[in-house]
Amino acid sequence: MRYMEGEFIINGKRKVIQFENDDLLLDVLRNNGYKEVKCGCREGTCGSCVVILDEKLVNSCQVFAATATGKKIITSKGLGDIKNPHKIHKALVDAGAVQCGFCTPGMVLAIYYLLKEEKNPDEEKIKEYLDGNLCRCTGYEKIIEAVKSIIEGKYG
Amino acid sequence: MEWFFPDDLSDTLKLLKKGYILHSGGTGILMGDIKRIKGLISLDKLNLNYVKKEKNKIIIGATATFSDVIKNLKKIEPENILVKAISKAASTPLRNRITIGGSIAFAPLWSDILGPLIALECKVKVIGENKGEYKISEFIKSPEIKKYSMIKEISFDRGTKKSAYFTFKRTSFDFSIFNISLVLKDKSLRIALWGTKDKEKRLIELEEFLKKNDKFDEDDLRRFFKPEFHNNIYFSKEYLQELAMIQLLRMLNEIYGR
Repeated sequence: MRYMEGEFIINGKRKVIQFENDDLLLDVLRNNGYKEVKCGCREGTCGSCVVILDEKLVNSCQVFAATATGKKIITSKGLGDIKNPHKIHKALVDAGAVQCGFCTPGMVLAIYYLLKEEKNPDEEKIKEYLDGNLCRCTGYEKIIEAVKSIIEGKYG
Repeated sequence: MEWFFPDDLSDTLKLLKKGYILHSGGTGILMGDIKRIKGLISLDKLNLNYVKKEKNKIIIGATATFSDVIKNLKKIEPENILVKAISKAASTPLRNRITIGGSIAFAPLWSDILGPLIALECKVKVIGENKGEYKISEFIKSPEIKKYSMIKEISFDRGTKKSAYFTFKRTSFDFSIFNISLVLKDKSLRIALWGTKDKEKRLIELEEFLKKNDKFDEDDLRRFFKPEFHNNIYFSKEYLQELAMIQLLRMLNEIYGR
């Protein structure tokens, strides 16, 4: 087993982390306290592990940690927390779009990425950007409602 | 496993000669047994993620992701079939990782990009031991080209007038079972099928027929369109053949405005 050391910029903070050469970014994040990055399928299909890596939404289970050193990573907690929730957190809660909550951190980031990339997305665009995030609980309607409420300006 | 992060192409090629494997998006590598890999060469620092037009050609760098291609090619040639095809491939986060070079090198049976590239008569520029520019079909059929070599970029002619793309999947996020690509440039139509027994099929006879005949019907197509598919665990090869036939007819009608 070979080890590497690298600096990651996670939610605005620089962290030097030691990891194995073939570690995935998902595992490095979770092993270093970022449990909001969920481990679902490990195949890049469920979206529960997505993070923003250098401004792009990616499945952290599909990224070797070694290639993420020196890059900016945002997780759901980087956008807000229980005391200061982001408007996306608020919108999802208000819309009743959180049941078990497992998909939610990934959904938050997918929505964040959508709103960053698209000025005024319609429902089709919302579904396109969320196409990599599976939810077994809600049936997606409430999630889409939440996104629409943000677009309509309900949260400023 | 060791990691290498070369700054330039010549260092990259030296590392390739030592038997290490190229890594750009990496989603293909993760499908295999990574414990067996001796070393990975990250292509991150090589700046091969461009999408540009040069005179009458479009040139795409090997590490351009699907998202890079959609975003930039839409500005240059919005009707281009690659925009249509790649937009239906995988998912948003995966399109931010999957690269053009990786897709061509890996050439999986479920690819959404190779059929369109064949219809575009794309050329693959290779550097290293097997340096040269290869037609995409030749590159796919000749794995020996990849030995101690790497894809630097691909290119194809501009000037797509119309295009149509159909991909058959069980769900929108699923792998493609087969896909059909039609590209109309000037007055010549190119038709490529991907996902057959031989992986790919360019329908040259049908193209020639359509050049000489303004009118066509299902019987005409059946004469020239005899794709061979593998039996799939969900669909028989007969079903896939029939489905491909009907879809092709619809796409031709769409292209010719009927």
